Amino acid sequence: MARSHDLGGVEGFGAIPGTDDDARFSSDWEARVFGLQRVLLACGLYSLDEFRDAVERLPPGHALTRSYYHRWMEAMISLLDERGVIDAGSLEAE
Amino acid sequence: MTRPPPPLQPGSRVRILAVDPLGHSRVPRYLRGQQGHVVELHGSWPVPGRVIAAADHTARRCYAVRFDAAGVFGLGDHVLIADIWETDLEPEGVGS
Repeated sequence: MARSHDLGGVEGFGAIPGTDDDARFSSDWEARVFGLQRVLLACGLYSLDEFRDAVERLPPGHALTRSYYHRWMEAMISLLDERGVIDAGSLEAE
Repeated sequence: MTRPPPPLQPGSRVRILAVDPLGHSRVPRYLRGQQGHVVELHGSWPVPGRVIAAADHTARRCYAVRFDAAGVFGLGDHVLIADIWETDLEPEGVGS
């Protein structure tokens, strides 16, 4: 079944904005999320396919309302919680 | 598991299966049921959705499939190419 992230070809979002900014991350926390992702993948906590699946399993509205790396972070938390590495319920709310 | 389908070659006409599996899929919804043709062979690889759903790492053939934008979206004179596993398509037409 198509999931809520599957928005290709959907009308109404307008043109994708370009940017002249060469910076890869718009804030430091995004860079830390990216780095943490590389570490978790290298340690074998989950695979890249499992990570994509976790992003897709976020609550439907998140694809529309959360930024790219915010969804990465949410997916990472859910995967680590599912594997018993962390307790997501004990994390301080953003 | 049934026997894997025979390999396809560039030029083979295909139709993307309409049935959408639960869980992770590499087929975007706008390609479901669409007709295209194979343009490139990508070798055989585990199907991500099956690895996640069933720990099935069986390597299956993956193809670059070309579609006409007009057929997919109703307008446009360009083409789009998507990488599709053999598990998500079937040969189309006589002799395909």
